[in-house]
Amino acid sequence: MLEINDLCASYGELQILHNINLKVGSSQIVALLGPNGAGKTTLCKVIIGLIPPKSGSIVFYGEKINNLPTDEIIRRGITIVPEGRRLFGNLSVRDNLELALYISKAERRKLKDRLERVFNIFPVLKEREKQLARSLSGGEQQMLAIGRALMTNPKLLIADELSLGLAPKIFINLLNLMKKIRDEGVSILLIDQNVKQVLEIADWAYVIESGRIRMEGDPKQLLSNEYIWKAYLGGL
Amino acid sequence: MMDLSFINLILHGIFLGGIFACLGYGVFMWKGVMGIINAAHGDFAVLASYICFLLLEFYGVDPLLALPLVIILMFTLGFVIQKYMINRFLPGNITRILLITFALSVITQNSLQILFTVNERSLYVSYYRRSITLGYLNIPLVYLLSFTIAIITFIILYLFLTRTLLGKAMRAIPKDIEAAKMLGINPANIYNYSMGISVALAGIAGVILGLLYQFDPFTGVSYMVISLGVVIIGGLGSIKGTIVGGIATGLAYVLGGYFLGPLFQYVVCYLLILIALIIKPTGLFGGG
Repeated sequence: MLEINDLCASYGELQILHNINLKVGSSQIVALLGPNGAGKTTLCKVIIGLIPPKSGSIVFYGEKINNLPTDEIIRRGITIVPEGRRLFGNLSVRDNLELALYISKAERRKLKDRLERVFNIFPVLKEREKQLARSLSGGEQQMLAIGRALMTNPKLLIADELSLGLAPKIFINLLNLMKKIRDEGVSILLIDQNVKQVLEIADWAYVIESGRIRMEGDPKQLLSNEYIWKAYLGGL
Repeated sequence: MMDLSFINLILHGIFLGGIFACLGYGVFMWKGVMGIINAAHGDFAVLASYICFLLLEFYGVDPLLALPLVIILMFTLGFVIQKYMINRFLPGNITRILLITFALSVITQNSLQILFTVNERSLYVSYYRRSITLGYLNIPLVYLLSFTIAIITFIILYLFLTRTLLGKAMRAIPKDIEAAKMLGINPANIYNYSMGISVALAGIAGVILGLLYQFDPFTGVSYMVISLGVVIIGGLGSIKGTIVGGIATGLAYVLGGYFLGPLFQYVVCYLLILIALIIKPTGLFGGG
């Protein structure tokens, strides 16, 4: 469904992404792993249309989407759970969810159904519906960020560093929820530094370093790969 | 027992404060939502006073009946200025935006001077001297009407910001503009409405202030300082704080005039603003 071909992107003169090739299939969880500064978040911003690519293409369901505005990319079915959650703390849980539908009047008519779906996945958000987003715990805020991304009924969800600031147990619970979301037919591009937990649930994985795809493969094979063990799992 | 004239004075200050708050709501829309300064804010209020003056003098239209037309005209003016002049310098180029709005301020003042001279004008309506007596209290009708309009404006604005998606987006953008973009929200589009509403609010304030006080092409400068003071005292980013800031400024204006003389009305207001800036720079309701 998503095909990234020879993608290059830069901030001014500084090139961040070099010839990235990456694919996400239908109802798949694809992991993108890599250290800080590898270009993971930049790649997210390029896919969602916040940074224009320098060269290469991003194809979604057979159509080129590079250089489309963000609202059009979202309407076509891609949403993002940004790094650090980026909620609007001064607005309520419900308001944060509703804002995801700002882009389209047609979508807004489906508000009730969409809220119901999100509340079914995250019942705690229903209980906290009227609370300010900033009053939620870290785990609840991450649920809200995922819920907000699900409001537009995406075909592809990009989750950037879900584990940031969360206790390991809460992160594992969230990963289980991601599997549930995948089983409902949403593809997920899961970007994280927690290599072991992410590889355990992914269907395919890429490793990005210094803006280049270093390797890709079946997650189980990557888990037993010597380089991955040494570089990301402490070499134990 | 407290002197009745003093109670009347306090009431007068509160009413005037509600009207001052109206000037402050507009500031919330440009400083709070976009982080820019519109130096022509006060002049736009005076422009609305003159539009009403024209309608009253030549067509006999009551300023309160002209209010819907003024709101539409002023909204359009703000929307167009934002879309074609200010948005091209956002985000970032605050100095240029300040210069643009200064230029708009000077153009508005001088155009009004050419058209209407520097003579003071007023919106003199037939019910200007009428008042309502409540027990021992005597309330001038124009004050009551103006205050009522200011309160209705507050309620509508509050509901708009808290109940509509556009209003929520206006509150979300200043908190995290990139997060808003990630949801597909186009800030430039929101800013157009923001400035439109801001100039319309300045227009409402201009009409009701014009009912109470005389104005000339340069009155906007005082309005501008009052409007900034209202939000400084109340706290930027809080529409409820603007009401409190407005009432504090209104009371300072009226009591300053009563105890020290009319020349001191603005001095006391500005002193209050300075004290508020020093003691609580974030304002009474600031930081949220």
